[in-house]
Amino acid sequence: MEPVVDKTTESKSAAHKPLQLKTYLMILVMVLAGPVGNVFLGMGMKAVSPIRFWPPAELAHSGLRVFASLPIWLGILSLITFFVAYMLVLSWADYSFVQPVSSVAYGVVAVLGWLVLGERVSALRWAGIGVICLGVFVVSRTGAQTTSALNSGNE
Amino acid sequence: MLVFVLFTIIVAAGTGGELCVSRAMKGVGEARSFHPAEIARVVLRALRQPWMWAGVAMMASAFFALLGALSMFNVSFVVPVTALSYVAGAFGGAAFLGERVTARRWIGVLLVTIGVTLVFFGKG
Repeated sequence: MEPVVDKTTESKSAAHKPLQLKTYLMILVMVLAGPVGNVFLGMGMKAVSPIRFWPPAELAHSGLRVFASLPIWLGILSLITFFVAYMLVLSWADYSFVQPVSSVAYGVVAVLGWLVLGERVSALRWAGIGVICLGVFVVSRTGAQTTSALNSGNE
Repeated sequence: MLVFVLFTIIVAAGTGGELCVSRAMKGVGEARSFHPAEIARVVLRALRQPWMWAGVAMMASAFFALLGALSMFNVSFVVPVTALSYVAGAFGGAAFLGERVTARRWIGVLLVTIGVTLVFFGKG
């Protein structure tokens, strides 16, 4: 893909420019890679459980089994993908925009848990996930900033 | 008991880590393209920010706590409960950063709390 050079990068605070395709693309990567990573981790940890936290020798032994597991590494790879996408998105868009949009991931993780891991998700739990997404949406509709301290270094 | 310790670490260290990373990225500036060299440049600049390291250390702690929780519970339970980070964020912002948390934001926080409670009690 040809690099898209953004002429308005100088004034990040004048962030009224429309969001670009690259931002939406990376958000899509975020809300897929994050849940996929968590599902892989869940798969891996279920396979090596129970984990004993005490004594320390047991914990070390459990740790070795965890990091010898393929799903754990696939999960870590997915989460690194998520993290890079997240950093890129945060450099293009405001946290207060990214936060509610990424709450879609709570729904995605439940769907994947149900489809891939065969987890039983009750109606009450689906309702809870819906209410969480609604709550995140309401949080995001409040002003992004009530102090100016954090941004003062950018001016 | 262990459950509460794990979720506390996931939420507190996770939220703290995100705040640190977010702050670090403010100092890095935008990535201007998808070009690998540009992405590498942004990542390298990010790694030179002390806030990034503080954030990464906290997120690593949260990650190991997450692994512990996932060894005991379903992902469709663990991940939604981590939404409590919005609650921690509001209280943390008000208490430590002196942010004024609006009534509307408290309503959102209350909704997240209700949602997590439903997830908590909605055993499959």
